[in-house]
Amino acid sequence: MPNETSSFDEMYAAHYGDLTVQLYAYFGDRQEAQDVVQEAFCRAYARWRTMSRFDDPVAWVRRVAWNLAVSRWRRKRTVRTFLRRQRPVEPQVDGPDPDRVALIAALATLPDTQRRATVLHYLGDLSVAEIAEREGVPAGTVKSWLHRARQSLAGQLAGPPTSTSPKEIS
Amino acid sequence: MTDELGKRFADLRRDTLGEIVAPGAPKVRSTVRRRRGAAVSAGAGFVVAAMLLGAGLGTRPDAGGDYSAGSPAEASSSGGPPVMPEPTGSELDPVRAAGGLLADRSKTPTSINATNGVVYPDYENHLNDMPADTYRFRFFCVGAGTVGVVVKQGNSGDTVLGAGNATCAAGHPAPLELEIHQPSYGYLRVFASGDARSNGRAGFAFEFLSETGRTGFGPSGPPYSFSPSPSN
Repeated sequence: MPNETSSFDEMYAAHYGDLTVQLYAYFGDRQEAQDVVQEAFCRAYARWRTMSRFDDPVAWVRRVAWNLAVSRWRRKRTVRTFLRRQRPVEPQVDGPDPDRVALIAALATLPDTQRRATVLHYLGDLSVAEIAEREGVPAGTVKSWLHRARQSLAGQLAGPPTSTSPKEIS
Repeated sequence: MTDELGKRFADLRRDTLGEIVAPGAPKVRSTVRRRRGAAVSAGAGFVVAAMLLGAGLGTRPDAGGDYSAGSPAEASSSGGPPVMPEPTGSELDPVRAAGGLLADRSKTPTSINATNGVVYPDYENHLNDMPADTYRFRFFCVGAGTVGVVVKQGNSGDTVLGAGNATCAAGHPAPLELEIHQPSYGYLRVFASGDARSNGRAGFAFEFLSETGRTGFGPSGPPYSFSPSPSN
């Protein structure tokens, strides 16, 4: 049932941070993530009279933010690759938490689909079925992406090899 | 590693959330107002802009000036949660009338990405979640004058999928109808440019109706039959 009293400010306050974290993990660039999420909320507000009647306007904002992120990522991938080659030590090493830097760096090495699935699963709290619906692929494909991503991340983060089979992913 | 990985992501979320300073919903509002204002002033000039501002279009009635950037704590102090106000003004009657001409989604779920608004000389809408399909695009204009409409593929470029002129009329205007074939999932842009008689006065509404019946209005709002880019 449409929620006629949806509050834009409430939605913004409740979801800006989480969406930014997800896209930060995807981009590896927090400012870029903040820009994308802010733009998604601008687009939502521009049509808020319609959107406020959606059952779940956050889903719309999330999708717009991710679509914007994917578009930006594709456009900038070449530039990023070049910069990485020129400057192998990323400025993020100055950050307060080396574990976070390592995780972001490890995520950046994953193929787009694996990285997106991983972020949506671990940071977006989406189930395999929800990711599959969002990506338009079978659930088994998502399980495979997550399995391979976890194996890759496990190796890069110096943890023990993963023993989790794809079927164990909920 | 599963638990370890989960913990790492939880730490990432916690630490990052602690460092993020949201620009704030007021900044969103001021951005949207600025964009709308730019669109208005680009074609209609100060007079129309002043009229819209005077009518309160797109502004919060309880906010007199611009919001400052980076001030997330400025959200409403009026108690109840703030919502985007329904603008008031004589130009909104045709907007509502135009919106009323759109298909009823409860009966026509194949109507997607519908919206309505005041006719501007430089209206532009980017639809970023348009599934690949063939659509009947309907554009209504309530009022007087005409509106030039162009539908382009993608988020940039000049690939025109359809174009025509909508003739405005009071009551029940005949819609401009175009067949639009969206070749792949993604962006689609709608441009609408009113003439001197329609700008700032007439109301428009448009919708896309899936001709194949494949695409519908999803339970959460956006179309649900999309098929994003192929996997890596």
